[in-house]
Amino acid sequence: VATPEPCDVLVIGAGAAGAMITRVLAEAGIDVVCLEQGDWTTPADRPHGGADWEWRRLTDFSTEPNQRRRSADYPVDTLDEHTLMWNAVGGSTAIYTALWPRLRPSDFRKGDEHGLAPNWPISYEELAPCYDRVDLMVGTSGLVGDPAMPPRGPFATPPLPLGKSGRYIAQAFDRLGWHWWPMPAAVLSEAWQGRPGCNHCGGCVSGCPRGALADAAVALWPRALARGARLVTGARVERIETDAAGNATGAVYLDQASGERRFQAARLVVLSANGVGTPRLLLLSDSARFPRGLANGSDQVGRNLMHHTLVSAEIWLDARLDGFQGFVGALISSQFAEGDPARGFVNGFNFNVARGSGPGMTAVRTFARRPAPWGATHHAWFRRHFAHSFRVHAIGDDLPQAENRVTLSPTLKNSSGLPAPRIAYKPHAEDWRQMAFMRGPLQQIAEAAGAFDIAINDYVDADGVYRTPAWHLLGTARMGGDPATSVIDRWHRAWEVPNLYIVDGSSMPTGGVVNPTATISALALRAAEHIRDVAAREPPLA
Amino acid sequence: VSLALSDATLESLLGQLLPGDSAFPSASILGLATTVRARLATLGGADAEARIAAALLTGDLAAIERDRPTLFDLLRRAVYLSYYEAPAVIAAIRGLGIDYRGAPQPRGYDLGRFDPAVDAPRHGRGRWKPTTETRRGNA
Repeated sequence: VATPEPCDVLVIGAGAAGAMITRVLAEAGIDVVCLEQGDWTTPADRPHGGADWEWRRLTDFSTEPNQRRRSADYPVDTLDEHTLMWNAVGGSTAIYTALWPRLRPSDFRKGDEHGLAPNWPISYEELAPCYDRVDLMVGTSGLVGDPAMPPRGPFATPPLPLGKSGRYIAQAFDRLGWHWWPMPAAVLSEAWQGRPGCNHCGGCVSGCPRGALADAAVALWPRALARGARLVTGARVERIETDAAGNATGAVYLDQASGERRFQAARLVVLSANGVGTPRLLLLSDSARFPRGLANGSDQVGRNLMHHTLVSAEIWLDARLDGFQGFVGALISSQFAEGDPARGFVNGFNFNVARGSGPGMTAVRTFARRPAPWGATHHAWFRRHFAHSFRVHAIGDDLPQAENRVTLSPTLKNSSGLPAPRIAYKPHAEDWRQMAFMRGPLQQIAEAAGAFDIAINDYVDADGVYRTPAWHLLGTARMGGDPATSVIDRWHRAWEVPNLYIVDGSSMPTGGVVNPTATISALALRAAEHIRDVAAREPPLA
Repeated sequence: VSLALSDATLESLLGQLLPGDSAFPSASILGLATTVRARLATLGGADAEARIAAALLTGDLAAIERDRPTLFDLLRRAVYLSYYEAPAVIAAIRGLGIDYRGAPQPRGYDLGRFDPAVDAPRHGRGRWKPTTETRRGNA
């Protein structure tokens, strides 16, 4: 095993959290190395400039590693979901939608609110300053003053245009007397700090070749590298090593280009490999001292996996919306965001209102799961449906459950022989009631918009199994105040390994009703500054 | 015996799936066969084309849709996605008065700017529960 030059801090994973931590530490002059199993994604790699852009969205730019099977990907052993992740510099921000809403104060207090999920060990108020600062680090757009959220700091740029689709849909919410607001986005509406504004191409789901969207590869990494951070791509980490005292000493990784195994020694290790990759690596790092996996004496690693509840509607109108144009996220509605047991379930949900699709996806109709007819009626159908639709995703707070978990597959391995993650995920009875409830308001939105058709996708497939797209990977190494029921403390330090920090979606004890990347980024900034200001002054770093 | 779709058979299938009309060309005249074959293999494996050919020995497209829905879906996906990226089809869409440009970049679209006077919500609706008020029984 080769041994590169040791570093002060080793970060595993170059996604939203890993990039933020690396940047903050590098800016403080700390010697930091980041290992990333994927590579850079260049603008030319992306589908946006080709005629086959819709095809590639379903194939080599699929959000599912099991579909696209790139060399940097590892397989996921599951029949319960369609796990989203991207393995590259920037992590899944390379292909995320950059919806950038925040958690709300009550999301941190579900233990107090109903007791079916834990309180976070931190409050919204503690995280709010980091949310504000992150927005001005990565580049965002939006409108302040949302009455459904606490007062907040400014966005980097003004809101993205609503366009004709956003304006039309907003009127539908007004007819219902429901809350709506322009979607907060990690997408620039105008040039900012050397990056261009969005040109509304509508291809956000495959990332952004312009750099207007805050992929961590463009929003965070350039500055981290300029400040001396060392990023090693093609580095597939196999395990985190520990010494006799139980401290992390670094990580063994396979350099995929050379086939060489290397040990990167470090005085402090940060694990940011996403809500599936992080528990997988902890479980792979078992030893005589940690027989159930690293930091897993409590048997909490991998448990409490959350994805959010999800029911989607595709809605068709006589009006032309041209929803293939523009940023995918048009509006957000927090009408049902706060939990209310009178509805028959405890947690709340939001509506993410998305624009329509290109012509190929319109015909294939993956969201609606009702493909366009073939034969003589096809073109009449197409005229009526293309550029006439919008989508509403009802996204709710699913409950953490011990048996929803990531373990190591006993049968499936990646290309270098490491066990794949196995994922088991089933909604809680509360979640089922919430998803059943969501159908009613989705119908109401369609009626208020004057729709001629609506297709609701509950993600229950032909086998009767709920197989969520699993866009968000949360909860599997959660923070808490009790080592018996959590993996990390309020500063992301592993209870059992004092120089191991875990920072990504796995850290979140609950998921709220929103896309999580703004929260993951704010948590990462907070953890990074703690490492910089406190942990770096303690042994073994001091 | 490994079956394959002849070009004539495949183009006939394309024409049945997506015939032309007053604005849109038939999929059979767009030279899509090579692309569709490759995409069938990507979606359904190297034998996808042979499975379709075998199914056609005992039934027509409607029968495949009814009896082999997964196989039919592969074919439909490959054909629809190939069709709607063809320049002649993009031109037909534009002929409907829709400003669809095909590949999203580099041109994108002009959506104007967010106009606070027109676009900012004025409804005043929405609420959030403060940390100190988050407790059981306080919905």
